[in-house]
Amino acid sequence: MRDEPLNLVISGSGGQGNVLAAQWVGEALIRAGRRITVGDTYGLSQRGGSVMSHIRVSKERRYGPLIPEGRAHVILGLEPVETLRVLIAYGNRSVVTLTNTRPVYPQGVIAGENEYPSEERLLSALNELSERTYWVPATEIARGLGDPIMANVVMIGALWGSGVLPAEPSTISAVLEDRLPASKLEANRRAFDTGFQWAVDSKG
Amino acid sequence: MKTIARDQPGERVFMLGNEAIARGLIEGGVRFCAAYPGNPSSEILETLASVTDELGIWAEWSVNEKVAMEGAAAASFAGVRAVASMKQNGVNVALDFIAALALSGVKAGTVLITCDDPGAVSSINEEDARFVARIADLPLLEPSFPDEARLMAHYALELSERLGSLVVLRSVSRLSHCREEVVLGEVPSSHDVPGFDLSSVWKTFPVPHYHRKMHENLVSAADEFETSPFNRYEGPDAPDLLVFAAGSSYLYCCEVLGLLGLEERVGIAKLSTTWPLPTAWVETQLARCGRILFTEEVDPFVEDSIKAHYAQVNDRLGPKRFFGRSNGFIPKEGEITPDAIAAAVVRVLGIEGPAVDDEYRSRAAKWADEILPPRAVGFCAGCPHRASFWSIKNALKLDDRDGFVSGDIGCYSLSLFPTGFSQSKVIHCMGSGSGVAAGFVKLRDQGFNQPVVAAVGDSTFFHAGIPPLIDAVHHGADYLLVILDNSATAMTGFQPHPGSPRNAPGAPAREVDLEALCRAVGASVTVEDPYDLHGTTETLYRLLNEEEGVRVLILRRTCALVQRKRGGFPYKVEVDPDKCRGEECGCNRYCTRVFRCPGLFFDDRSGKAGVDEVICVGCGVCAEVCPHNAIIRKEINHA
Amino acid sequence: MKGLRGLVKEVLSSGICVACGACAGVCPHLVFRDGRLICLDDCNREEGHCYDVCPRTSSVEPTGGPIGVHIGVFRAKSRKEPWSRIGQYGGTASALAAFAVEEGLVSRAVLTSGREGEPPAGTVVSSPAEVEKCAGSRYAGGGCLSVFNQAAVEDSSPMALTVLPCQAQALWKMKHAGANRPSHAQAVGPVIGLFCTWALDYRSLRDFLTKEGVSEARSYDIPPPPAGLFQVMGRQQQWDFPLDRIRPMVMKGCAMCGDMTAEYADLSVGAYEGDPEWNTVIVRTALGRELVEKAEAKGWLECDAVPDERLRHLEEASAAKRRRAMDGFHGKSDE
Repeated sequence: MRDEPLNLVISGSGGQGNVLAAQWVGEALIRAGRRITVGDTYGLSQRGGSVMSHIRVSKERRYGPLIPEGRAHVILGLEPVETLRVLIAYGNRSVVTLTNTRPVYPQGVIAGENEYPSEERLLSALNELSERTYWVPATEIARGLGDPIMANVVMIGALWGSGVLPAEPSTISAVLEDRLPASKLEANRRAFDTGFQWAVDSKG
Repeated sequence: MKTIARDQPGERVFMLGNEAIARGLIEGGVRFCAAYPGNPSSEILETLASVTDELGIWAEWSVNEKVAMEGAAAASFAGVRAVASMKQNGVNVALDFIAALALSGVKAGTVLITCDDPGAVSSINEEDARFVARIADLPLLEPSFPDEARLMAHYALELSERLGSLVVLRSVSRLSHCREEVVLGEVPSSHDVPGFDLSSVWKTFPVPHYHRKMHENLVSAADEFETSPFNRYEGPDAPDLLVFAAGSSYLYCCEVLGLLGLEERVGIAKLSTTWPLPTAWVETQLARCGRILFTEEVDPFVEDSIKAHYAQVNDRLGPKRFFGRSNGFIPKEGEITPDAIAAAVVRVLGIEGPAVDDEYRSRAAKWADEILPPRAVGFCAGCPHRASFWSIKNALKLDDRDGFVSGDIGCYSLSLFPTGFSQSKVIHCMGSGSGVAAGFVKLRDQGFNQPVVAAVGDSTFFHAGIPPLIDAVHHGADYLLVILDNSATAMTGFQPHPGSPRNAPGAPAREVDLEALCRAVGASVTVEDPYDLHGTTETLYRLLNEEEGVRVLILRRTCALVQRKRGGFPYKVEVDPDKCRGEECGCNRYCTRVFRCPGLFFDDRSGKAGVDEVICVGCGVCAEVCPHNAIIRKEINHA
Repeated sequence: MKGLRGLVKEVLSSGICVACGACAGVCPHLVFRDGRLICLDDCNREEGHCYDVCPRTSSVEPTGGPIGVHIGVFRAKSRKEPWSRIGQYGGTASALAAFAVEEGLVSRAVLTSGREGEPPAGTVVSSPAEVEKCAGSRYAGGGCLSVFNQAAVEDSSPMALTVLPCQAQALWKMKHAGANRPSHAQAVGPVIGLFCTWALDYRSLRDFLTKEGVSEARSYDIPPPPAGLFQVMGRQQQWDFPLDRIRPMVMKGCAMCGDMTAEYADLSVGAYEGDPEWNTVIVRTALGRELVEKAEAKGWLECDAVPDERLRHLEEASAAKRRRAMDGFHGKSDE
């Protein structure tokens, strides 16, 4: 599949910080000289529904905020089931998928009405539907670094580490510097670096 | 200085569609901004409110959209440019005033912004608010992407002032919540001091005179639109198919033609001044081709307008075939997508669609069937509404007279679903829960004997809940009005409302006293903390049983998301696995299966409940729910 | 479907619940409130205590003979104050409960209380003084078994219980089919059953009395036929209502009950025809006999033989209720 535009989806469950992550990634890609459109879907986002952001990365053109079905190049999931949900709708044989391994259980699962798929089944599905899959224990990594809230930065690190984006790590570093208070910058840099290295080492 | 207010023409800034609209208004010299929050419109006023001090402008969250529009009109009469922004439903609320304002006209440029929610991702209806332009004879602008939204917002103010008419700017979720680089224009540096000119009168009488003026305005607007840079044709001179792309659908059309390799066969008429039609321009486009497809959000508005105009000129233009929402070539309901447009183009032209990897898609579908659980929306961990509806459920059950809830608009509308124990049985629009509840109990003399509880949020109560309360008191209607006071307009992002101690820009504001207000109209008032499940249930039960007339129960507890921002709760919640009875008789995973807080989970391996420490906010309400005291709320000391 | 869903379908939704309270108090789904059994939430367990112990989920067969299996019938009255004064008729039932806790035969007893203006409700007592507060008939289901259930969770030592026939049936089920709740089987001590022809829905009665302007209702009585009256006693005043106005408030589940004399109790106590100073007592089990004999020996009770004619009348009345129940069961009118 041609990569103009490059289509990236960031997905998650409401309240996970999906929209902010997409904004940061978009800003970094602008710093890398790309033309970016981000479309967010977040109606009842904070109320636990599915959330996704479509990021269109073009060398020159303006694209719409919705990726046509089956045409994502990269899927970055903040929650495994939401990763799979988006993969099913927007994936294709050459898609690269990265997901945080930590589940956020849907209402129906908590209530015992639906089953949350086992890690094994989830991985089989992700592997079968992706060219490369990064199964990133981002929340655990972030917790190890001091605060699970940095899981998304670990995931963004892994995104850069996977090498799928046309942007140097310095572009996202600059965004983190701009966006984060000085007191949190160091820890988040470490989170980014750890995620980056995790993806480099695992090779998907 | 915040980026949004910076006077640095030419600077490129990555911003949201709604921020771009706000920026365009600033560049157009707006001085008075009023709105009522509602997805997807809220960020416009939020953005403007963040720069009130820097720009010396007024920005407010009005009590409702009608008041927002009235305020904007006053500013205009006093000579300063104004905007009122809202979501599609807000236009309905404001319509009474808009219809009159359309007749009286305006002085300084005044814009009504409606942000529609195609697909009703967070709305109770899928409404095309463009109808207001036709009803009230107002010019209507529909930008296609954020930078154009910036330009058109500015243009809308200019056009309004030139015509002396309110102008409507219409966005949709995909534009409002789309982010791209926007090129900043100039910010005007000087402004007039507002004042009312006593020689002016703003009225609608004699109506036919003003009505004629409105129509003349539309003619002027249409003339101006004939040469508008916001409309353009892209494609071959004689295409096989012409697509009229209104507003946000334009970029989808461009992409779809690229994907299908049809750029040399299909033309796009990008139309962004959608009412009144620039008829000469439209005729020029129609003349290119015999097959016309319309792409636009929600209703066939442009489609119907162009078809109606074509009916008058078909002798000149020859036979045409039209395709769009009205004949189902574009699905009649739901948000328009690139895929829907592609399917329509393929169908009209009778060509092969884009290559589809059927084998991959069927494998994907198989996984979806086999392992993908649905993700329903629900109340957040610690949400006071969960606690409130828990007690409402229990009180209505204990009461045992088939009582039910007449619900309202806000986060708590989720009480329709299992997260709110499916308590609300009637939900329509802002404030309607109270009016509908009163209607039911007015049938008492005819034998209607079920208790009725109206449940309304604090912001919604101020918005439209007060007149029905007055009506109910006056008519002796005996229902229980529960005001779910979480001190925020939580659904739309925690905007302040008249009960809040601060205003939109964050300055101190006088709080309107809910209790005093309700008592003043003659209702009895009780206040409870919904986190006290037992106390709240007993109070509800007592109020259902023992009193007559309108009883107001205020369930007051700060939204858990707001509480989290303020430092959270001083508790850590844990499950004692020795006490937890899991699925045994006597519990059957009551906390997760019935109470359903997302901060809890059930571990199938151990057969015990657990607390998800990343999600749990520590409110501790579930400790009261557990029948065996297995959930423990421990106090923790914040370092 | 032999859990709560079964109970809801077969009993609660079909309106034959008699609010005995046997299903409530062990789990959060079911509670007893103001004379009614309320299902607060759905439970998807396929079996459960609630279904197992409900006296209406499977028909409880008559135990034999018109007044059930028994080992003795006599008349009795309390020889101690205040029971003969405040209890129903001879005060035997109250006296026996008081005796059981006073003498330490059991450490606790479960009774139904119903103070003026308050709904009848189960209560756990451990002294005669507490028994005293519960004396008198309620004519409305008190759901006292929900309180028994709660008490049994804490402590499974046997409790004496003074209960209606339906509740005696539930306790029998608890004792013999207690798979889901072994502790509850253990906690069932001597069961003192009360004769009952029907009970009223408390809330209907409450609303009726409010509407009729009854300001205080300390106790109720139905004088023997042919009076046809329902009497409400206050401190200063008494209100008489024709029974026909009261009957519509009888719980539907009572109509299908053929057990007038609490056949599943250890001993049963009721009115004694023609003499309000006495009670009829039917002793059914060794445990019941032991309780009565000890009470008599310690001077709490005076017992005497019942003439054959009186016994025959009692048997006729009991058989009539069985017949009506069968008719009711087959859809014929109770009246």
